[in-house]
Amino acid sequence: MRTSKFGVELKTFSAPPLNVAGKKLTFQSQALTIRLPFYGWVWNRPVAVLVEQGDGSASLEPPQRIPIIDVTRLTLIGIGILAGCISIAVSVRAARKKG
Amino acid sequence: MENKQNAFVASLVKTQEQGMELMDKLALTARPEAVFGPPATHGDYTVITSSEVMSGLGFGFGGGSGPAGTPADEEEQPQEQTTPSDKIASGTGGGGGGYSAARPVAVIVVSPQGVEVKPVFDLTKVALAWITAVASIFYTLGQIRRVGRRR
Repeated sequence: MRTSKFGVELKTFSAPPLNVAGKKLTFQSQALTIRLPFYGWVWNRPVAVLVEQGDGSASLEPPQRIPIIDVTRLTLIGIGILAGCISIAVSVRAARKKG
Repeated sequence: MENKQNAFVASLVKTQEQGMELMDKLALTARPEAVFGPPATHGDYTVITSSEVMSGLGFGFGGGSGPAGTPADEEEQPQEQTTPSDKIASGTGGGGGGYSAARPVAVIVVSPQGVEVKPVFDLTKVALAWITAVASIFYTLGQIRRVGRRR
């Protein structure tokens, strides 16, 4: 059975809650899906964990949201930006010297 | 002849349907269950891994039909009178490829002290990116100097 249409879709999903050590954990992930007639691509990454005390039914407090930060990706983006800035600075400096 | 054409079209449709079913299975990668691992408990501590998952899939198919050629044996001993238009040969084919990759992002630790998310730092990946970045900066510098000398 075909479930989805062609196109690009960015969606946040929540997994069924999991009870661990008296805490109710709900895992959230974000998926980027590209569907073309003969091609498909999915990038799925963890986003956050929602923590509720107890079974979550008696608690009136909102669930605590703990974000999952991808340190490696942030570092890679930082390196990319730094390298780009250095390259541009070097090019500008060289152009000024000639001028 | 009509039966053969119908069979040919049916096989094409079947191949396309199989490809689309495969594409639907790819959607399973988008579920949170693909990202978060099953909890592993030891004493008071429970550990759950979380990874980034990436997968891709591509496929293609095609087919064709045309008048069938006459084999050498049939040319020598014709058993029945047939015109070339009576015999039609057809064929279909398809192919595809895919990949899937996962990288650990963080470990979720549930302990009596609370819930902690401990990030996983991929030093190898960062080191490779750093080396590539430094190399590209030196390459840019080299190109600028070379152009400067020519002028």
